[in-house]
Amino acid sequence: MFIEPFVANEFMRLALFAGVLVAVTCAIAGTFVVLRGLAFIGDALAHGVLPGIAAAILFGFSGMIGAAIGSLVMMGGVSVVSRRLRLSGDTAIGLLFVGMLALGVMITSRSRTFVGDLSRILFGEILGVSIGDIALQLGALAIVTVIAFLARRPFLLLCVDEGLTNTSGFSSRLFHNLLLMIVAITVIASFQTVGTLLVLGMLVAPAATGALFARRISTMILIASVVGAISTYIGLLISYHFDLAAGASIVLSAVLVFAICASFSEMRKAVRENDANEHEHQHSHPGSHFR
Amino acid sequence: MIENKKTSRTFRRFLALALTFGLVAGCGGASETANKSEPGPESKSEPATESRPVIAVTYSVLGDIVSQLVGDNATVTVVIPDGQDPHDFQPSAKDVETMSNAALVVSNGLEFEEGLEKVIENIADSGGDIFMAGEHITVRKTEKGDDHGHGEDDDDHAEGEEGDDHGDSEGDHHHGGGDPHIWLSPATMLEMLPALTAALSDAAGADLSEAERVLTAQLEELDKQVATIIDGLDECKLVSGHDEMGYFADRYGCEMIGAIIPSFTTTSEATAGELADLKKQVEKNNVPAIFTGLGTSADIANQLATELGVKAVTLSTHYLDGSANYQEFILRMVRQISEALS
Repeated sequence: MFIEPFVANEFMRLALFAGVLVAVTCAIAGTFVVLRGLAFIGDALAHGVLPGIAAAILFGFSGMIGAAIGSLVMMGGVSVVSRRLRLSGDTAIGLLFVGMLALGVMITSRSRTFVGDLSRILFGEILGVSIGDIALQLGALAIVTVIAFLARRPFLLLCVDEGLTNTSGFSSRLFHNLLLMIVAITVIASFQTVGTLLVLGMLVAPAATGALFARRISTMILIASVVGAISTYIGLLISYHFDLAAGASIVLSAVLVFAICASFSEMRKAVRENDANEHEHQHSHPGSHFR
Repeated sequence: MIENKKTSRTFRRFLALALTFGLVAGCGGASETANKSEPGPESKSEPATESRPVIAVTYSVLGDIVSQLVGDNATVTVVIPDGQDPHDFQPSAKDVETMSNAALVVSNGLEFEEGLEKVIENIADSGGDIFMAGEHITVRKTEKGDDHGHGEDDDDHAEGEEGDDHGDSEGDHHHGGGDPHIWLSPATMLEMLPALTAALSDAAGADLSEAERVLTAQLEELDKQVATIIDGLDECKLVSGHDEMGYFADRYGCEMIGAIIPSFTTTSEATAGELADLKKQVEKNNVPAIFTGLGTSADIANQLATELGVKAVTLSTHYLDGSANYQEFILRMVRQISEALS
């Protein structure tokens, strides 16, 4: 019941393997997304790739390249609107987000040769993952891991205090853009599995779960990876046993895992506060939470 | 489960609807008009005559039947361009205008053109003429396990749990209404031909009885041809992209083993459980090929075919796809099926 579906079906094994790769990639990128508050631009990037992918299918080049172009346009556009026109970053993201999404829909709605429709890009096709897709995801994971490892100090500083980053001798703008690039790579690598609409769930939910318990970034990434991998496994089983869409099942599992862990963490905190009151504040726990 | 799919469909529709506004506002009509008039044979026989009444047909297969009936008496416009999935096609403002101004709108009507339903409803409300093909045929409604009733090896299905599993999961996911894929059996088209001819005669203001006679004879002949080709196969076991071959299978004695998306519409999604069921069925029945097409994920079909060591054959079932007419479209599809299964 828990193992058999994967033993009997190659597509389940491939889906699980691809899902775990995506979960780990998302855990790394998602940790910084959660700590630096990049969820909105993450979402925007996830939709910004749409016209790129659509155009790629229309003109017959790789969807990955299309997605990369889409995310570059997205990031460049946000940068131009927010810096040059001096509008808030929020407004810039909102403008580009909707613009790119609409462009994607327009391309798909009028292309005669379009084989995969919009919903397949938005919701993924994890049950149709091939070995080639997995190779690409492995590549994406490797790139993201290397960047995150090499830039771990400036990334950490960015998450704590942008001013501190500059005074420590790192360009906050450069590393912010590098961070966005990691998010973009993650989104591009994930569109085959959970789709561009649901990838945000994999970016945010496992990392947020990690943030509940972890005090170090490395621990947070580790917890997020495990949560993401378990969610993938649970989601695929749900899709198998209850005949539900696979991508959505995985993402909902991740969100539910977060909800359960958050309740657990709140309960633990309540118990601890209770204890502390009983001991009349003999022991205080400063900074016991990440925040 | 059904609710879940409905929710996601509603959401996607909402998304599409929200963005249609962007499309309507941003996209000029010029390129669309050009797009529209390219496909199908009807546009070729379409000299610039403004006086002829316009008949709007939702999709190209039905559009060709209408063209063959009306001939030069009316201009036939197909709304959904070839290559677009009729199940989830979203109309542009120009499309809505075309349909609203038409003397008659011909549609499938069995919840087939999901994105056009609202428009058609509005046209009907404001007194426009609508012909729904589905109202003039015996609608196929699939109930639990009904898929397994026909076909020669019933013993295969009686023996194991697997067969039952399969039946259950299929039954659960069928669309609320009937099967809209009426055009895949020429016999079903014959059934609605008199009603369609009557509606078209009214709209075109012409006597179409001669055209009806010709087409009836041709479709009867086509029906026989298809039956002969399928009878020539040792066995006809079909695995399709979505649940689209029902009328065809019923008419020509094929057995429907399953579908990648076991639903009457492509707006549902494949699930792991259903794919695993399908895999078992294909293995058990020794099916040599699985058919896929518009609206079905090519990735999933190919992955499944690779895993099973069978062929994945792309079949054009929802649009003419370059066929000169309906008759040729059906024959090409049947030949592809016969080739893949023999």
